[in-house]
Amino acid sequence: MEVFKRPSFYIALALIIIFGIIGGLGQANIGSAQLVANGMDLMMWIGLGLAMAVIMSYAGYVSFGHSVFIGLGSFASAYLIAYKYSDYLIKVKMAHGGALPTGTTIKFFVMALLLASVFAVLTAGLVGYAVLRLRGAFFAIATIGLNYVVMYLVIFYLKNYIHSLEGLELGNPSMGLTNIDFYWMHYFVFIITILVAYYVRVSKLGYGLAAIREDEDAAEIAGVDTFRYKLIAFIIAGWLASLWGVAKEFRGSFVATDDFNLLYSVIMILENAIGGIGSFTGPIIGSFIYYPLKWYTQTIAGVFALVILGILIILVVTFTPEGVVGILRRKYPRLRKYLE
Amino acid sequence: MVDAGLLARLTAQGIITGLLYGSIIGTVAVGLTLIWGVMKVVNLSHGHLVVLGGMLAAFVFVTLGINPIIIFILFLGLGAVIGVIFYYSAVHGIIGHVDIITLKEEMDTLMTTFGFGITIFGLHYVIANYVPSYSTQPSISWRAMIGGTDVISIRSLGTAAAPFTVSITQLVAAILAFLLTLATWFSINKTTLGLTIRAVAQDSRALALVGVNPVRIKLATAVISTAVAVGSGVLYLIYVGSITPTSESILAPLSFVIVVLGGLGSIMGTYIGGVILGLIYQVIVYASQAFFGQPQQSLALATAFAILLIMLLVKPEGLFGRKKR
Repeated sequence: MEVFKRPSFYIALALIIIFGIIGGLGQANIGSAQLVANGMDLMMWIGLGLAMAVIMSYAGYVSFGHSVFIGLGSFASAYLIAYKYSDYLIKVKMAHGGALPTGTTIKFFVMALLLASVFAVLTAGLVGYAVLRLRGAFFAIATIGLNYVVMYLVIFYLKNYIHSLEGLELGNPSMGLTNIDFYWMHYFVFIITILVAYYVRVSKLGYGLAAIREDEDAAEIAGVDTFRYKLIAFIIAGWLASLWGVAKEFRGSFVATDDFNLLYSVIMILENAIGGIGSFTGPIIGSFIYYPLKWYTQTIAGVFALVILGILIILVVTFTPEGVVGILRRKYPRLRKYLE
Repeated sequence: MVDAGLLARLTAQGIITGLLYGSIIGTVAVGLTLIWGVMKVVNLSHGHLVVLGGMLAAFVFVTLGINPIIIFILFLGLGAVIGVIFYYSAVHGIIGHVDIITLKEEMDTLMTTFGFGITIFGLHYVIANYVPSYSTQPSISWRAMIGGTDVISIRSLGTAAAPFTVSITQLVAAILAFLLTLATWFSINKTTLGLTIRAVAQDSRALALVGVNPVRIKLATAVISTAVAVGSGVLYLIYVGSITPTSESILAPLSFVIVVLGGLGSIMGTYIGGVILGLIYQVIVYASQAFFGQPQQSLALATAFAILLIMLLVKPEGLFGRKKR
């Protein structure tokens, strides 16, 4: 595969190796619990940033309600493990002395990923087919609408047919899994996300999307099948986000309709804005800036975290419209082949 | 099976409540239709501004016990001050000196206004240091304002056991909301300032050529929009009787539905859109009791946002908006 021999692929490879090493250290009881937990968070933010990048950064369509896919993934896995097979899982756990055997865990994780993928691809395909004709703010508002339609339908379903707490939460059965198990689940989704997001960027699809981002009408005239390209990008972006919903739900031990919170979409957008629009490395750099900052402010400042985040968004968007990658590419042209 | 008589009675009560509720949420959306329709700023902090008005009013009412109608009038002024802060921190840096607003500016203001919104949201928790929420019911009521009973029952419409009820407090709030919308409509459509505001939406450079400072007009739009938002927040508080910072998560998305439904930039259209949506929402909430035994807000809200999606696809200029070429 020629696209995996480009210099920019080393960055993707380096990330996969680094997070693999962190997981290995954790597995061998050398890495601290803090390292594992933070590594997991960072992987999730990078992954979500890349999922958003496929539609926002590559194609220029800001999907403001993208959290709908996180929520769908979360709902899909909760439906399986917290409702459908809840009793079965507890029985298996008891038969194996208080912890789920690895085989069963993997089986259910993959099942949840598949169900989430079906949900996300169907939703993104059907709704994308309709709303991708809108541009700019109207597309953003339409995705917000989509987010709320799905969220309230999920609440309605949980409240009336599963009788969970007012439809807002559905608790997983205690499966006896450790943080390391969750780490490898995150790592699996992380590898998928990195490879897919990278491949989309450097393939023919990625160049078509870049043309759409720069000037959609010109791209159409030049022979790019803009609608099909946008639809594929939207489906991929939604699918990747839904995988993270599953990983998040396994770790968080319950589904909360809080996963539909628009704040998730905004953080995904912010990571892309900090890092720089139109590049594969943008959201990665954005996450490496955003996550430590968020973690630090939450740890030392508590309730001030949201205020700081809000002011940060305003400052970043107003004063550095091209993002970190944009600045680096302009100042150091030699880095360009790495910062694709 | 569903009891047809019960369903009809609940639906009728839903219509009465929906008219009042629609008046409130229609006015909440008027501030948004101004700034979005005129300045092309999709103000994602709109819901937070509305809730900020409600929270501050509740605080003033609970601590000082001033008549809420006086608070409402005072808060229109306070809203103007907040509008100046809002304009210079979140909007001016992006579109202050831009003549024609393109997609990039639109996306940038989308993010900065969201940043402004979560700053307000975070500040509630910084200041109060616990989950802040106020309940003003039943202390804000007709009894507190003038005296007399708060609920009027219309016996001739319902049965003797379950008469229709209309809260006078809610009726007063709905009427004040209509007056606020009317005043906004008057200032935009019938005054010179309103004329220049509508002109800046069309061609900012041409306006500068005839000697009007476009920045000042943009500031004026943001100020009027914020003042209406803050004022409608006070009315929302009077109507609902309780408020917390998370009330935003329903007010803001509903405002977007209403603006798209009524027509971008059309003030009376937005208000009527609000009444229509309020009717749909309350009728579903009440009528669902006949089917499920308890009100289903989630179903009503899912319908509301489905309307948003359908309107965007079928008639993006709204019911009362002007078609763009």
